[in-house]
Amino acid sequence: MRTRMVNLILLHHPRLPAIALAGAALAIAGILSEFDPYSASAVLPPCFFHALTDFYCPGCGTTRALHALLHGNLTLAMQMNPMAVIALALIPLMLWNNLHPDRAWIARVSDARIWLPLVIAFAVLRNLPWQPFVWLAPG
Amino acid sequence: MFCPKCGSENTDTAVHCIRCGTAMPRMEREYGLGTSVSASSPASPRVTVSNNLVWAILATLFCCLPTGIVAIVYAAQVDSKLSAGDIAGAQASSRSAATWSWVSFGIGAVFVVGYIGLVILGATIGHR
Repeated sequence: MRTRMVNLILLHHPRLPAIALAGAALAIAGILSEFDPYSASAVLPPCFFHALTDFYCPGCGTTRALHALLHGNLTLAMQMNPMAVIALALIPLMLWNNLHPDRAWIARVSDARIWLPLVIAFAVLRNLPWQPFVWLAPG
Repeated sequence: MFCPKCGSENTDTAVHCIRCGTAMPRMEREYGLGTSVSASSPASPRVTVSNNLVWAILATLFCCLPTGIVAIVYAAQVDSKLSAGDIAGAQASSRSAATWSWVSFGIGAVFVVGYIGLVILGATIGHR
């Protein structure tokens, strides 16, 4: 029932996901321009996985990376979470691929079979305490 | 493919919708969650099933949960089943990828709302 509703909505409004994501991006940009993820009285939530397990998850550092991007510091953003920076740059292409699945190289970027091993490798490697892998950990 | 009137899932060759009886379009384009058939030549229509990878990646980045990676696993299954020609299997994996993404977003939202609630609670108590 739920999927049928979702399918029906998407059938008639194929650009809705892109519009919703653009709205969410604006909201997050607004929040991050107001609040500082480095402040001690942080209102911004930490990574719960890291808080519970002390391991870095693939999303650790996303808030700080977005904050750095918003302030024009691409280097700092890459230090915090390179996957977040690269994925966010590619998501518009994936949304484009959903609407117009006809460009081979865009289809390859949207291929989950490429993403899966990369994400798992990233999740594991950023927890290793040696160079050069510490570069993948946030901070 | 999905019925344009009621959204029910039908086989790709359906002439009328199994639920509401509406005549199915011969070439169906459906975005985001399901199947689309775009005919490059009428003889060999190319079927695509969305792998919902965007939601899976966003769930992995923003929800800090292993469930996001489960969604990426299902997204990868969509692409491998699709290239093997298993359209029904790809559609099932596509739905699983979407479900796991939304489960991640749901749990993540509960955590965030709970955390912000605690911060506000702490601030009010601290100022007394």
